[in-house]
Amino acid sequence: MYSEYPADFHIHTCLSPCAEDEMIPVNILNMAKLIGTRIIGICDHNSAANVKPFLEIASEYEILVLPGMEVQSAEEVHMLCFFENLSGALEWQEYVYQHLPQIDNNPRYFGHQWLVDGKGNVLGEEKRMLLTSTKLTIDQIYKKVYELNGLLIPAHVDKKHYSIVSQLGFIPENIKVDAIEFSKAISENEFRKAFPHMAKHTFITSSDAHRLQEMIYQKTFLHIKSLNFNEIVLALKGLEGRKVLIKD
Amino acid sequence: MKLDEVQDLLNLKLVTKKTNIDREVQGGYASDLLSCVMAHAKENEVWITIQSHKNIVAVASLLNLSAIIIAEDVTIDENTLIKAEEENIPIYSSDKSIYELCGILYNILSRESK
Repeated sequence: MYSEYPADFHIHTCLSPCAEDEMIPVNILNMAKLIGTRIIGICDHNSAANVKPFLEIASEYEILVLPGMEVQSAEEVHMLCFFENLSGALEWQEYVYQHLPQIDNNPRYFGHQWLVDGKGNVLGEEKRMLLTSTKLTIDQIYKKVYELNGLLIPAHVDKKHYSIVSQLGFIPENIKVDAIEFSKAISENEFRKAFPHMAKHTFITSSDAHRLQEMIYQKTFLHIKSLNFNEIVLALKGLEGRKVLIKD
Repeated sequence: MKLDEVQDLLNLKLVTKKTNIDREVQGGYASDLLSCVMAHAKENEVWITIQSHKNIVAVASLLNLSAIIIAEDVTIDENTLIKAEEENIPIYSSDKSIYELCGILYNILSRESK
């Protein structure tokens, strides 16, 4: 039988310089539990280095943590990438790091990039600037994510900056995306009207939370049989009765 | 002004083969956001950008732009050039910045219109 699982695919941690220090695994998982969100995607800018502590404590919650990243392409497009397990995400991270410019972060301007454990104890700080474009083109990103059996979802496509539509006008025909994300700035109806050519894609909408309170925006629901990566893949593809619903 | 004159005055390198450069240039537009270009660039303008994804060709073709100038010696993907030749959109490369290219182009085109 199918059950309905509330999902939020796009949450930042304290590793993202623009996110609050409160965005530590235990806080995010507890907030998800409070709201009732059962699937959370951990997507920091150009890094997956804080995914591991989530997976270490997730078993204490009935929440599926999706190892992910919000990568910024050379064209300044933000793409969400997800992998079934930590090793996939870390292999992807290694590829991204090879193509990340060697610029030091300046925490005074951009904020800290904390590496933490599950409870939020600081293990270190990522010194490289994460809030910048990688040298990876959208084609390279697509090829590599596909090769690693990952999921690729253009982020906040309705936004006027850092979206596949703002940067490239439309989704290039060779890029097969698994869904598209619209932001909380627009309703599903408004989005459908403004972007009629997107109708063939599966939609998700996410909090893009940089602080805990922003996780309250939760409107994406998955109809799946159990809580695992393969079921999510089926739901995004709309296969075997699985589906994604948005409730405004 | 003719496109080949613009090419000479800006010292541009034509990187597409078999694209027709016998075209008029009535103005220019500069942006790296393709959504902005689609909304604001006009027919017979040259478009100056550092964006080199092949979608630039579709946008230039849609608006019937005279040419695309890729500034700052940005590497241009092979697929972009193939698409440009298919769509007959001349692409130029330049080592100058967008700022310099716009400045020079603005000067020569406004002088011509006086």
